[in-house]
Amino acid sequence: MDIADADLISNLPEVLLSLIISHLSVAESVRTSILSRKWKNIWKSSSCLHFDKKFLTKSCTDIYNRDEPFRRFYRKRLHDEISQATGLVERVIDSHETKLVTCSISHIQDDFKSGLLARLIKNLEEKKRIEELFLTCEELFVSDKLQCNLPAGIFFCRTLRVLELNGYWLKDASPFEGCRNLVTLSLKSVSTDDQTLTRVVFNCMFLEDLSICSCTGIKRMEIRDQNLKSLKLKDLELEGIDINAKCLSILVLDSVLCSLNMQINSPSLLEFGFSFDGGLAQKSTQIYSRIIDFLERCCGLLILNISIPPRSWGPSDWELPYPTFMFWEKRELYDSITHSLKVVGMKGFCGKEREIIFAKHLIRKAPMLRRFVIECDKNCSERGARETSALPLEPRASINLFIVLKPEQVGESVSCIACMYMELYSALIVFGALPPSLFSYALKSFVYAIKITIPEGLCLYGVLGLLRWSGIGIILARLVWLIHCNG
Amino acid sequence: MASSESTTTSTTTKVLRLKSSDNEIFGVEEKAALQSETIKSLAEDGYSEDVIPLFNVEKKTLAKIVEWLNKHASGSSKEELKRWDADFVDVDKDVLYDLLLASNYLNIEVLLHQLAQKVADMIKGKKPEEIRQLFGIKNDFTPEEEAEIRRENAWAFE
Repeated sequence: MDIADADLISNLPEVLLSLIISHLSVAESVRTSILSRKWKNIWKSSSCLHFDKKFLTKSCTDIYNRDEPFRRFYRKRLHDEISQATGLVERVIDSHETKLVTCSISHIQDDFKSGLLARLIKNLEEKKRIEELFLTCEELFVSDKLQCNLPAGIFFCRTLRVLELNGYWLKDASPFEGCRNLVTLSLKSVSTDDQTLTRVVFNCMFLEDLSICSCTGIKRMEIRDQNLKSLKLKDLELEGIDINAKCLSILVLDSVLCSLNMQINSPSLLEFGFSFDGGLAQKSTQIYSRIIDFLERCCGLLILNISIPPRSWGPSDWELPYPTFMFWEKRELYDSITHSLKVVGMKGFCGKEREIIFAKHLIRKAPMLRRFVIECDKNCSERGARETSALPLEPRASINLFIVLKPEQVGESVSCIACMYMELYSALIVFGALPPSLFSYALKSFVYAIKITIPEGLCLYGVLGLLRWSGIGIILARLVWLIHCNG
Repeated sequence: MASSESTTTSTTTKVLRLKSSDNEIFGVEEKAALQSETIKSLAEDGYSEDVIPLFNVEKKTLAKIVEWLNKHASGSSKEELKRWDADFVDVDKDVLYDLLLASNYLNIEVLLHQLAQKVADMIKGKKPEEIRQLFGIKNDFTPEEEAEIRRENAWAFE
């Protein structure tokens, strides 16, 4: 037999084959049983099974993907096909032979009512010793609101470490009774209330990682937990936030609206992410006052990620007794900036005055800063682009600083100009024979430049284009020279 | 850039020496090498002073593995690693199997999953006959047995 055609894959140990199969969808992994005798039962030892929405609606996608009135018309068929698919879920799990690490199940309300879901969870916990469970309740019709609670103590399982609930109704914390070993909990589109949430967190004694996304019914979020390490909140409209977590090291607030007060007491915070892309106008001062607040309180902050809202800049209510560019100079230096801050990322950067002065402040004053990534927004003005691209030339407090400028959208005239500047700077750096770390920066901007200049064409900007290409030419020449010297 | 990297590291940090099954020795910075659980436990057992023998890994495979270990300890950004990894696993099937076996033996979980994902991607979206052809798997079922399996899990073959 030709060596190239030899069946090497089947000679791999079964552990590896089942690992490979774990990366396939359920249907595809079951299909491998037909390859040969060796493969017949491999899928039964796969460590994860994902019964996603696609699995659920496979036989009725033609109806499911249509609009609601159409779906309503075929309501009966839709229900029949889907309950057949969920029946399959049970059959597949039953014929699976070893323990399961990860399992995700999409289902509809009916399975909830008929007790199938409770049965499945029990089975997974007791027989499969499941560790990671992802549950999604699909909504067939907008009017169908899920209104029944999960059975009490259903997540009582020694092996369960990760749990995600999507689209549930949670008005009482009893399902989490005795839920001792859960480390990660994620609630998405869950309808709940303040008290229940507090009880759930209380019940999960060893919870370290909590994320709450698009949940309704929460007004005042009160979280007191001594073990919590990471907290991510996304798309929430709250009245108040009160977090008291001694060990919290990562906090991400993404599109969180908090109308009244926000109290966060987490002295050991290492990473803070803040972004706002909701529809409501957020005043820039609010954003900066929040950042200032964190810089002030978290002395050991290592990583700071900020996403600047695209357009909703409210009127400036910074009434300062001195010009804006002195804003940071007038404040005392925070310990987090002078001692710990290592990585900063800013997204949606438009080169507006406040952004520029904040960026300059960080470059000039943060001696530990290693990496500063600025992702420019497509709405960046020409002046903003020019000022942004001048940032790498600022005097730096940190000798190891690596500044990355990323144009977000290709094809905008402005990012083109920004790019031209970047090329020129890279050319400067290359010519100035600066340290090699800067050389890789030059290479990087060179790559971006290529990406953007070619579809744009030369003639668009006449002289600018010429300058741009000469920048690339300089880099190329330098490169050839370097290769020549080294080789 | 690669040359400047190796000169700065060798002077400051500890280097572990790994020996392949065909007696080739590779020097790897400790931080990079300890991503492998197997090397970690061997180093803890007192092998760290002299050469760590890896009897199940050939020189050409070990060279690739060392390349991966170094890259993943270099502190590159996530996006860069992702691109680099995609290139790294883009190799011939036989090399892929050797890497799978080696990373399983060396117990490097991240690499193991990347490689398994790569093989799974090759299987995805193909008919059983195409998969057999791609990997050279010989169908040893009788037509009756094959029909039986198809019937058992008819839903998966629709």
